[in-house]
Amino acid sequence: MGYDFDWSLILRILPRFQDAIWLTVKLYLCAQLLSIALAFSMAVAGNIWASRPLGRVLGFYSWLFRGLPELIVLLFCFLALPDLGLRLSSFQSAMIGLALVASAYEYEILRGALTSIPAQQYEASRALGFPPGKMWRRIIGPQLMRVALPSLLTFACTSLKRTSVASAVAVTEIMGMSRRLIDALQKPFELMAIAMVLYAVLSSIIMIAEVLARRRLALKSE
Amino acid sequence: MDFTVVWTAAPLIAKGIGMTVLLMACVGTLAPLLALPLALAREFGPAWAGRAVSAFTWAMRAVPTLVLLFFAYFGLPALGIYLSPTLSALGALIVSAMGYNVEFLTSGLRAVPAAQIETCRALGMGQGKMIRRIVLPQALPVAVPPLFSNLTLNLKGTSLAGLVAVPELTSIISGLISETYRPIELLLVAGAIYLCLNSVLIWLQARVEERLDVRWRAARAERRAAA
Repeated sequence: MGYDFDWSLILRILPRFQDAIWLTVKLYLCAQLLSIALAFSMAVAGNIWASRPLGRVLGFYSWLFRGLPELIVLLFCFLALPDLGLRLSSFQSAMIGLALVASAYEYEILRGALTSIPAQQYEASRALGFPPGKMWRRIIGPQLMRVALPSLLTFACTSLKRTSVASAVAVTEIMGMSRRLIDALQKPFELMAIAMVLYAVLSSIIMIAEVLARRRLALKSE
Repeated sequence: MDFTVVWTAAPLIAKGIGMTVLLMACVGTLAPLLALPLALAREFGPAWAGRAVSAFTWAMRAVPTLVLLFFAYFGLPALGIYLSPTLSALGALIVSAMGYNVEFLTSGLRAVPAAQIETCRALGMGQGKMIRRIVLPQALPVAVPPLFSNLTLNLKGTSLAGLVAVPELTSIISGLISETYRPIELLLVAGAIYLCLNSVLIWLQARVEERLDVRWRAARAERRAAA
């Protein structure tokens, strides 16, 4: 083996990852917010207007985006949407693609959590004269989040890893940056080690948030 | 829309589907088989083995599959290990899937009541026999549904192997896109193929779960006794 490890390269190259790290965080947060908003509106709409056609449409949406590989969805947003008349930057198409995929899973989590809320809670709020907005905010929402939040956070951990696929549509986040630098520097081992450590650190931050949220949400039984 | 581009490239696409199915079949069988000894070592082995396995699953769950794929593709040759792109991608996909599979199998093993294990020890049953005859028959039905759900994720994961020069469906499709500039048709077809493959997996899952059901096994035992 004629490969000399250049550990000092890691220290020298790390500052160049600063922008890439921010881009990963930005992409992750944007996609996460968009997907939660989408999933929440779908779950609430499906719950309020419990009609058959709407249920079918939502079911199809979730089946579709849980079944397609992320890469295919992202490539479609990046390559096919411009042909259909929708111009998106690579960051926008990655964000929308990731949000579409994530919202399908989050919708399923929220839908499942909604079934755990007894019908009497809705009836009681109506009997007490709560307007719908207030009922969702004060009565249903808190109970829903207690059930759904642990699963949503577990899923949020996997969402971070999915942002790496955005490198395939020319977003220079951590993975995209490493790929470029591999081409330029021919030091694949060190660069992949940097990418691994960066992802592991970011994942661990979300995992810690997950543990803290679980602890905070646990019902006190006294 | 004009799907003739798909028809003319059909043999190539078929080859890509073959590679995708092959990758998925290898990952689906090898990852759980390799994960089982790790899960057993974690539950029944020495403390250091448990810690090592926990560290392994944490790392594999924290690092994206794509990074592992690139590591196997670029990093292993740097270490003096030369594999074909397909083999190195397969290795990365298996190791990545194992991170989750070990967790599913561990939770299956933990679902076996502790009293049963204590009873085995009290009866003087050997460790190996206990695992084979008492623990696994009860642990596997618990672990199989999440393992199969993970397999549908693995199927989607194989699409990433295209980025490290494995000629599977997605890479064939993106090659065709840059040749023909017809992204809409080609991506719609690729999406439909993935959805079909997924449906096959989900159908298979229902069959396997049926077979692992206690009632089905009781019926089979009765049939055998009668024959």
